[in-house]
Amino acid sequence: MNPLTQVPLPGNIRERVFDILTATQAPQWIETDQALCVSRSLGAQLLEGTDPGVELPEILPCLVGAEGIAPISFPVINLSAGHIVDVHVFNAEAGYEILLIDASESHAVTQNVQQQAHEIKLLNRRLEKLTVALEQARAEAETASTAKSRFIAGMSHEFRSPLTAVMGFTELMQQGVAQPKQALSGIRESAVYLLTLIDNLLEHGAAEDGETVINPEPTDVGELFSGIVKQMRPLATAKMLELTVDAPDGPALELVVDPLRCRQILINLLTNAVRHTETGSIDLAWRVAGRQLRVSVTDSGSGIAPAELERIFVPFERGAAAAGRPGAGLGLAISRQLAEAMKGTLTVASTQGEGSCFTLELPLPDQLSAVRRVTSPGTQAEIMVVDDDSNIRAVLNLALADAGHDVVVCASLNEVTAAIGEHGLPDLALVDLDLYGEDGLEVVDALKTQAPELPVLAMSASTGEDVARRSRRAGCQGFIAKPFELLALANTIQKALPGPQDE
Amino acid sequence: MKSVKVCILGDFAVGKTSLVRRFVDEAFSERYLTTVGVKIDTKTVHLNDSGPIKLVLWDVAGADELSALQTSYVRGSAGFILVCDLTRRETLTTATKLKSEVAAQFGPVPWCLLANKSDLAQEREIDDMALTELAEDGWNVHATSAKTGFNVETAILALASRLAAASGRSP
Repeated sequence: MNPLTQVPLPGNIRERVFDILTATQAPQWIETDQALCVSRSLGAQLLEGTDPGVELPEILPCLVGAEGIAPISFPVINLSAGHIVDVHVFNAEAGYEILLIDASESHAVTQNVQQQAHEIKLLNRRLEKLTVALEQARAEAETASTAKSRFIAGMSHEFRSPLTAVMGFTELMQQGVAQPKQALSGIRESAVYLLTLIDNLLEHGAAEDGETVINPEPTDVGELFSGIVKQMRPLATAKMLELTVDAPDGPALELVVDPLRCRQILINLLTNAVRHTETGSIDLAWRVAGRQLRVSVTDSGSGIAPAELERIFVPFERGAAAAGRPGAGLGLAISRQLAEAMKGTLTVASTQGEGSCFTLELPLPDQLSAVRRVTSPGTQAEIMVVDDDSNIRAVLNLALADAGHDVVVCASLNEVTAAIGEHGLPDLALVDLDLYGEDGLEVVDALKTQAPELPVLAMSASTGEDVARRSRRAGCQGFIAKPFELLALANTIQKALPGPQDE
Repeated sequence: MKSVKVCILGDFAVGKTSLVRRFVDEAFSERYLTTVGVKIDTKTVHLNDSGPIKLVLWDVAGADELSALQTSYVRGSAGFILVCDLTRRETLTTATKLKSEVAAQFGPVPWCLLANKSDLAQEREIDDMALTELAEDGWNVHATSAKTGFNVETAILALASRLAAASGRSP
């Protein structure tokens, strides 16, 4: 059927319609009135409602907005009933003449091609993003690997230098070449440096894992700071530097702070101050202002350039003044991390050529209480030392005997049982938790079973919080992390021993 | 009842068809099926100020510019909806380009930008700050999700209100 022979088309559009119809299959020609009702239709029945007299609900939406601008063509219209048609609208005297051409077949072909093209584009884009992400990950891995290599090389140097001093002084002492006082001072200085380095490395790892634990407890801060200065004095004296403490007047104050973390920060600050000061003095001053503890470490050293004042707190970054000096570039970074973990701040003010002042400010809980300083002489007692390391046993035996105590040393639970059988129960026991092949807590348990009131102090080279917690749960009166200062150990023992100060 | 033609334009696979389906049928399909030509849907909405209005939504096949073919689809539109994909930055560039082309050819008509796929928060390449900057430049921007339905109706009804107000002002 040729619609052209049955529809009286206007002459001006006959040629165009002829072109359209000859190029397509299944055309449908619809004539409408003004109300867009079908007046006559020809061709295959593509749409419902194309009988004369009915409305064209499917086509109507196509004509919204098109009034007055026909003739118009809308190729590939997906009508809501599922028909896919090309719509051509022509003006007629009494309405519209509409030519619908089935576009299902061409639509299917085009859609297939277009779908594949789009999916390939989307896949390519995802691939590009993955490539960028992979490249970024590779670059980060390379950077991390370089940093790791640099770190290992740096750490190797940091460990080897003090170890060289320790080994050298020891050998010279054995040969009788070095003066014991000078050699021991050098060995001690190197040991303190190594300990600080290890503490800082462990702390840096913990901070990176978000595992910094803060344990505030009532602390006689005057005693704490004096002890730290006493520990650092030999280093200062070796460089002919004066090291002073400026403390507030009045009775001793017991403040709720984390003594271990305060100690770590101040050791770092004082070590740096000694390292960067060639002449003059270093002063540790502390005050309580309102609900804040302020501790400052001031030196008369080389000072820090303004541009480096913040960089020195970045891990492994070191100021220009530190070039060529020992140090891993961790101390200040960790000190600030610790200060912030205690909800405090660590800041620096410095003038080049005049010196620097580092200030630690820590918030305090409401209660401040003055504490009575313990001045009574140490109690002499019988102390049992349990440790599997013969050197540690020897050091403790010497130190405790020198303090006037009777000392019994044991290396295992069997030896503890035998010693109790021979000497009876001690006044206090010092038990290493990491005994070779045994759990030190079993020794604690055995002692506590026989004498629940016996003071027991646990020792361990493991510094994790869970070790201290487990020892407390087992009934220990205190926990001492290795290595320890003998002075601090003596104070802890005196506090744990029953005596006149135990009120 | 007043009928208005609204064209939905944007790059391919930004979710134009899904937005219309969410608005008209309250449904969503995960499957991507490219649109060829135009899909026409209608929905009558009831506006508080101006009563019912029939939206004739022309969901035009995705493209990064207006071809001659698409120009014929857009002709006669009372307004248009631009769509971009929050997980593909370049689709915002396409939307910006299409907006300029439509404005140049058809003059000032109400329009809005739907920043779609807001549910894919982890994959976003266009952040809230970029949308805020567009809003500060006078764009009617709505973050939407055809998948969850977030903001779709609110955004299109806001445009419908402006269309109704504009048609009320027309002679």
